[in-house]
Amino acid sequence: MTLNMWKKYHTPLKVSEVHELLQYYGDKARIIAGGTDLFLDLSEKRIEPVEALVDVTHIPDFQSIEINGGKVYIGAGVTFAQILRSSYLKQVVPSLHKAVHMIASRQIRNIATLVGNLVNASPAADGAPPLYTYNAAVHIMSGQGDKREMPIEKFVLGVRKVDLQPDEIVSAVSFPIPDESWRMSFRKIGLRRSMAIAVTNIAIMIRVQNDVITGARIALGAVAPTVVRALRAEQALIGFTTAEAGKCEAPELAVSSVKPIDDLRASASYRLTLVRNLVRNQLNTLLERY
Amino acid sequence: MQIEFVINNENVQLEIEPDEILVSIIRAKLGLTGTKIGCSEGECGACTVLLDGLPVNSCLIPAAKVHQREITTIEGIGNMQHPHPLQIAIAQAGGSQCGYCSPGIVVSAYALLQEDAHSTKEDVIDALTGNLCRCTGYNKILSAVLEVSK
Repeated sequence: MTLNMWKKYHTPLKVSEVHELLQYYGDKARIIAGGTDLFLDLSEKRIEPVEALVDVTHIPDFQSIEINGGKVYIGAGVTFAQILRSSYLKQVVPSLHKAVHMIASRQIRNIATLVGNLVNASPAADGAPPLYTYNAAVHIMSGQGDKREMPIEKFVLGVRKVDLQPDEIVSAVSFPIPDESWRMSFRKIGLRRSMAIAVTNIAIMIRVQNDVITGARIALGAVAPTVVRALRAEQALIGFTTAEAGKCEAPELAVSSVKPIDDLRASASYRLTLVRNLVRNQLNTLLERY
Repeated sequence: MQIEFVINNENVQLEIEPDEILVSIIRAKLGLTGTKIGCSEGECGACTVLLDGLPVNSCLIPAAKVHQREITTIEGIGNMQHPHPLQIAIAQAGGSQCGYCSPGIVVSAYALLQEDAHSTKEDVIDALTGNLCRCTGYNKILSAVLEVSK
């Protein structure tokens, strides 16, 4: 069966070919990696049929996880399954590992990509909150050969909207390797344990030195048009000792930093309750590890 | 457009429309109807096949994507004349009623056992999260797969 979704399917082997194709088609072509979101948008007619799909999963530079200069680079074609197979990533960024493991099913994770998850920019993307806590950057290549790097929080503009021109592609996402003084956690609340879109998800990183909190990063998903870093909650935690941190206003400050909506999965007020409880519980859990 | 790939250890060349879907060429062009279409949106796993050894939802994959790759369908794992131990175990345990989910379940379980021949209950549950069954309640499927993986 064909549903008249696209007219041509291209699988370039070089980045320069991708740019030529995007130049040629203008905004009538779409980049496809795993395609698990894009395919459904097309087959379920949420977007108009396109002239061409440009598959980037055969571009050698996009298929690897690299460690370089204290940073991890995850290429545009790297699947969730590849990320899960990396014992290195499991060790240095366990919150990303956990988040990825909670996405969908094995069948989806075997073809879907982390970069695709970010570019798709669902507010509930599970790969996003950990990356926001790592202060990740998105690497963008333009048709002219220019490369630019953007912090992830500037890249994702709103619901399903990112700062990407029609002739630009994301080649990778990167982040500095957190050092061992940081502890991290990830939680996802959904209507099922698997195959569920998050009702709320949260990633936290916290650093304690000499029993005092010296760093905190809290990223909340599915409770605003984009992932939100709860900056006032983070700042409020700095300086508390591990024993006194329970008195910090961080959970309430986190609640006041998000704007969830009522939707078919949950009400806004339920989500606010989740934010308060998740921030409090995850902080307790992380601080107990010191 | 032309694509070439290996399916169940056989080389195949096919002329396809650029936007044909993998599950439909497997069923309609190659006549391999063991793979089922359940939801057409990658949620139920009835369409599960192996792509380069890894389970994927064939209802979500453009056929063009499998050019020069290797596919295994349920027919490549077992059949009436030579059933796979997983198929025998699931059938005998009562882990198949209408049978519609069963090929996808066998493919996912097969992939798990290829990766780890002695899986735990948690591993099996994790491997089967993408395969829905409306009939059996899963327990008999689980015990059958665990039996084979002992």
